[in-house]
Amino acid sequence: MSHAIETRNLRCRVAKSFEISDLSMHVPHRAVYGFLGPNGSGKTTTIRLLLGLMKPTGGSVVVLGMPMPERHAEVLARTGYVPERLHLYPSLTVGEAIRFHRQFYSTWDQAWANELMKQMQLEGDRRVGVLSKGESGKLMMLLALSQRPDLLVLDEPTDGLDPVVRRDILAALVEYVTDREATVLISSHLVHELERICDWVGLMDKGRLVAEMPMLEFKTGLKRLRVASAPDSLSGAPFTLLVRDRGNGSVEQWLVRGWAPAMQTYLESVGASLREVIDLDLEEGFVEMLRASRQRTG
Amino acid sequence: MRRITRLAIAAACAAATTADAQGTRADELRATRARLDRLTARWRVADSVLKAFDDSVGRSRAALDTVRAGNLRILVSKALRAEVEASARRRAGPLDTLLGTATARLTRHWIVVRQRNDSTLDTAVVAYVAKPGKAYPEGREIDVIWGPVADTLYGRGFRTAAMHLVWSDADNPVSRWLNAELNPDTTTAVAWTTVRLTLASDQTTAGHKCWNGDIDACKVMLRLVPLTDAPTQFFDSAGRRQHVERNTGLSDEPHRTNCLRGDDKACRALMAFEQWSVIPPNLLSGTVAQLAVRMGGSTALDRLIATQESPARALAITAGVPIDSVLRVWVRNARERRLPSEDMSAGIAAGSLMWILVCGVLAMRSSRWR
Amino acid sequence: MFSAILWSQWKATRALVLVVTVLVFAAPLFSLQVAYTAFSPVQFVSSMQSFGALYSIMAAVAGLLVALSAWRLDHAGHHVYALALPLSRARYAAYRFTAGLVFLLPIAVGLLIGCLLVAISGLIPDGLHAYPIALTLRFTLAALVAYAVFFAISAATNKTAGMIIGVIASLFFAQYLLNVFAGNTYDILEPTVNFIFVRPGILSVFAGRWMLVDA
Repeated sequence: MSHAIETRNLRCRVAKSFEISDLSMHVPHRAVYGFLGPNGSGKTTTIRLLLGLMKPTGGSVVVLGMPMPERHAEVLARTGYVPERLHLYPSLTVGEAIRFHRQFYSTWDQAWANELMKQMQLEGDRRVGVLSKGESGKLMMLLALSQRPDLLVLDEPTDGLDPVVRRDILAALVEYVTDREATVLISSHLVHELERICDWVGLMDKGRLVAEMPMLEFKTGLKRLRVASAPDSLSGAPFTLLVRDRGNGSVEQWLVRGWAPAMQTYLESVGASLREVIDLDLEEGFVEMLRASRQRTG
Repeated sequence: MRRITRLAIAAACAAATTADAQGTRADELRATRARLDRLTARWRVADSVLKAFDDSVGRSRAALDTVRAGNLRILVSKALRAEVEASARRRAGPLDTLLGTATARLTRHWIVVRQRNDSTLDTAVVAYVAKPGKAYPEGREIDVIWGPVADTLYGRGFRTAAMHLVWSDADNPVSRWLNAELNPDTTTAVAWTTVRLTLASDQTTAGHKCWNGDIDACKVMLRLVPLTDAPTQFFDSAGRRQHVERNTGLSDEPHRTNCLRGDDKACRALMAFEQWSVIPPNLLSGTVAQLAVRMGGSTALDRLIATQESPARALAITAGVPIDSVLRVWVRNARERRLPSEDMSAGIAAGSLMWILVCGVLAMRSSRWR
Repeated sequence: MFSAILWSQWKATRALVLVVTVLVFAAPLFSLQVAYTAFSPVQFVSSMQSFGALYSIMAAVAGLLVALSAWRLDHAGHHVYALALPLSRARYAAYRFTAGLVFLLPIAVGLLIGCLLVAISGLIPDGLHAYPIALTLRFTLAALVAYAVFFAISAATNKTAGMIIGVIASLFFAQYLLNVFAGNTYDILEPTVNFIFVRPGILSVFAGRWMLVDA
């Protein structure tokens, strides 16, 4: 499988107490990749490293087949970026910001920009500095989409927005991805929001990529099991045991990844008895994965 | 001697202490203090005499080597000889060129280079004007320059000392007219600027006329003609009235009022009475003499020193052309010889552009952008 | 791309450029008004000379303000927008730098017009000479140098700017220590100041006399 974004052992020390360590992520072409993680987990730093806004201290980044940050100008010409905070010049009006931005992109689609402006109900003569958070978000999305990029990188694009604006933005995104078959990397800590649109998911915590998998696998393969009479050690298990909570009684709670119903026979073969399989939604799975990760790293 | 004086002061102090213990305390204390003051004053006088004596003995005993370079004769303390000699040899040629045939006059005098008496660090260059037939150190000394040992110090010292020594031979009307040593060097643009500003700013009618090229007026300005009636020579009638109007110091009231009403006789009377405030100081004579020397060639300075003619005639003899021609060149130079504007030069422009480029490149290579 | 940057920068700088242009235009006229009351050329020159420092200060201030305004928008957004644009960092900085240089031109033109008005006013005493073009050229170069220096410092990270300030502060502190422990034997400030202000030092264009009218 070819990847729109690929990092290998990426490292970057941002502060004394925080670093991105050995990050190896793979965003497939034409995927909508949900980049999950709690606040402060390193999502924004990772995105800045991917786009060449920061220089890594180690490892490698390849975006759209080109090494970063060496070929950042070519990569950014094909990338639409929506940062987490408004970054546009506040003294410009909306119309001026659009005119300024389009000068840098040969693929700019002015007709679509006009259409999006109407759809998003943005007024051209309003100053960027006085736009509300929702209007700013819509403007940044408009700029990113009108570039007709091959890759969209959205850093918490809906954070703090009301549901109507959030819906508008995600709708524009989905429409674009459908039309254009672009790759999207969208970061958020609002898990349920990504559940509907992402087909891949990566989970960040404390500067490390905890998990990376197709959304389907995440949603269906992550289960909580209630198991009785389980042996102390498991060998040759066909699933990944993430958390084992022995509790007080004889029934243990397990968090497993890669579960399939046929694996029940394995449990019976080691003398354990499966009492219950509990489905987890994305948010529960996200929380459990984080818990597991933190238990592992102490 | 110093020890005796100190003992006397100590004894007086002891006596004062003893007297203090006896008799009327206040009176005796006053008397003792007066005596102490007298003794201290005497000690100071004796000490200064002693210092002067030590100094003169030290100087006369100081072993000085003789160095000859061109027409320069230099007495130098042994420790400084090598560098002084090297410096003098480099400077002798240019000095000959500057002074022309007058440089031969240097052989009658000395330049002394020695440690300054009151400093162990500084070296002094002294022009020693020898008395005819008398040996060093019986002539007249003129301190020229002093400072830490440096080739530039010697260079400036030799040049200035040579001027003093050569000009010390001049005892004639022109030297009294100049009232200073002559610098025979080419007049600099800075000096011409001073002449121009002085002339253009002159408040007298003669000054204005001279600035506009009236040579007779320049002769009045420069005192190259006898001043028999300064208010008339320096001003016309309108100028006199303006001068009185400007100078509130001219306050002989009836004359002043009449003068300001247009009575020129009153103006003349007032100005004749207060002549000191009428005639502007003669500050420009040096540049005329300098110009005459440069116009007259290598023997010009010699001629200027030797002549006993009036200043105007002496300048003509020096320049080898009539005084009117000298003054015409002088006025022209005063009007035209300008300093190049300091505001802009190719050097400033090139340096600035280089720094602009350097800063621009640094900004492009700034760490934020890598 | 350059036109876009030029235009955005003009929007952020134009008020400042306008104010500075008016000030530098007025300075020569004001100096003439003051000097005109002098009753001799010497006084006139002296009066004009007292305004010399004003031109150098205005050049430095103009350079500083235009440099700061060149980066103001990017500093406000932590440079994220600029860094995310699809052009090399050096090229972006070069565009910003050039745009700032362009905005110093109206200021220089303002000064030139003011100086020329003084030169043709007929109020300069006989024997004195006006140097409107030389003064304007020097002002322009000084403003450009100040602009380039402050632009480079402003383009750098806070760490670099802090290092520059640190070096300057260290010099003063070292001189203080030398004064305390070695008497007044060593002077490290004077050679440093000479290094900066004496040709070909970086700020040498600011040194010397700045004369619109001279003898």
